[in-house]
Amino acid sequence: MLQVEHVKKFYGHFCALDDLTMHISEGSLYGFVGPNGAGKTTAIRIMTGIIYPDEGSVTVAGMPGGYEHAESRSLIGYVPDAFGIYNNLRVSEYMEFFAACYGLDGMEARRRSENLLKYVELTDKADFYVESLSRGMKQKLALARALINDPPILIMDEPTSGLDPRTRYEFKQIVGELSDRGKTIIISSHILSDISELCTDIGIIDQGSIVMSGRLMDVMKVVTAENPIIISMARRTTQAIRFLKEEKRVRSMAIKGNDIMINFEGTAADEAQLLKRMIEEGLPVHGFSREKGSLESIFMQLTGHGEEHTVASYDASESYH
Amino acid sequence: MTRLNPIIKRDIEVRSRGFTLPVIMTAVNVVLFTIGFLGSFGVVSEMRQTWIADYRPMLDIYMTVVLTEFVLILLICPVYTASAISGERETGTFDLLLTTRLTPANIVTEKLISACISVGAIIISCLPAMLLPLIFGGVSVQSAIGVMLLFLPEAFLVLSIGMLASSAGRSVVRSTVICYAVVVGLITIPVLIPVLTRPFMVEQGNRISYLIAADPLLPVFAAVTRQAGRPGAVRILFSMMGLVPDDAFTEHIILISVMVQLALSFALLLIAVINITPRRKSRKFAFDSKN
Repeated sequence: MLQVEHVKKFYGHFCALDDLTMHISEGSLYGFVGPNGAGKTTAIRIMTGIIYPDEGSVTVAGMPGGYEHAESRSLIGYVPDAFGIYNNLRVSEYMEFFAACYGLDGMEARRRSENLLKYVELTDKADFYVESLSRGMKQKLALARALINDPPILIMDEPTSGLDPRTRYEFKQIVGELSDRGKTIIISSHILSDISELCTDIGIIDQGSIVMSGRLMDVMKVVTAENPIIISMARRTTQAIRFLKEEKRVRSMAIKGNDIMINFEGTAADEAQLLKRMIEEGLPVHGFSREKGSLESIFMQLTGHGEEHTVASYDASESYH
Repeated sequence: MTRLNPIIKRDIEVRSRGFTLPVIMTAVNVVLFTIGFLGSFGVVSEMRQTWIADYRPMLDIYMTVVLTEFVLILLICPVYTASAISGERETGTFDLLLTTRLTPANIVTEKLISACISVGAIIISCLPAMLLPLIFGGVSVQSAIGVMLLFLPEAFLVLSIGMLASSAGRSVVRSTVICYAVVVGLITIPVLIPVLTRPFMVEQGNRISYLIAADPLLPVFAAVTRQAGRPGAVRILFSMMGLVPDDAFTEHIILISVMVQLALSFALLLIAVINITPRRKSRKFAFDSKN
């Protein structure tokens, strides 16, 4: 649905985007994650056609992207991190203004505006001035505004930042519903729990380049596969350690009470064999599982400059097939 | 009003609710009526003492009122356009406008028209103050309206300067300061440079004096001094600058100046449109390095 190919963007000598490539499939809910200054907002502004890349291209639904292509531009709804709100307009006027900017006439503009305000639960605020709305309401209004021309793609830059937990929950519900309706949604966020709850796909950007991307489940599996196995012993921990030391596939080991954490090199079948042999040895294994990977751990590993990366930079979906 | 010009509609709605326009109208009229009434009282007092009815002092008051109004209008114009685009940038709404069907030309044109409507309303509101000398005669309604019409291209030029400054500056403060600096420069430089270079250019004639055609004060100044029966003021100015009085240029200076300034206005607006249009290459006219 949206392809970003080898995009480079410089501000003076500073390279904001360095050979950025992203493929976002139709109907996906894509989490765009990266530390401050990684290039998320620049990439989003290029996708929406507001700025041009110095090199590379953007394709929207098979059509070339960029400002001069109004047709592809109109397929994208954009919610910037700064809301983009006219404080001196009423909520309904704000919606109808943008409807008019998209060429919708009076009645159609009013109908869509009312429907969208109802959808984001702002109908009772329609006659209020925008400046009187809370941050959460402004964010909902910005979302409703981005949907005024019913675009198939929605791009949101830090939409849940600064929202209280309840509004965040409501906002995520709305985004989830929009995704269920078939919209392709790209969300940039620092709040990794939101991304892991909402998104089907993920792209992690650092220093202007994508360092990992793919289906969220695949990314999590890859990271989980690299995590240590935790073996919980009911008793006889010393014997278990002795047994594991003789195992070729066990690279390293750490002990915490009755739990033994091992870095194990092997497939799922190899793991099963290890468990089987431990039981045959008469070791009372109480628990045997891989430590779960979290998005936060991936993020920290991939964007921790100067630290040793334990997960290589690659496309998870490709490496799994 | 809904399909083609949403920005004009929005600006009119917002301005009709705010106090800025009524406050400016009131302030300008208070200044002009104060000048007009004080001058009139002075003239009437002198008539009572001398028993001589002379309408010429009233023409001086008319000239003062018109020129004061014009200078005030030039000072007010940047308020309406210097923030037009930079203000949208500050609130983060400019990017959103670019994602809609509005083109940069639409944005600039609609913002300019809405500013012209406001400035036009201020100019029209000042007509009664301009007509104060009619009590004593010497100036006709047609003359006053004629000079008022001359305000329009000059105001249009200053609004266009504001629009260009707004398209190039990233903050309202910056674009407003730039706009005022350019306006002051445009008023003073076409006069100062020829006057200062005059002693060095006696033999070849001072061609640089033709710069005066770009000065927004000139057409109104020339028209109002003619109406007030004091064309000598303009002739003295031309002599100081090295221009030949009564030649084709000085004879048609008002028309030439209006044409030059309208052309300049459209050129500035075109640059403003180019400035806000997303392009692959860096912008030549931007005051900031970042897009």
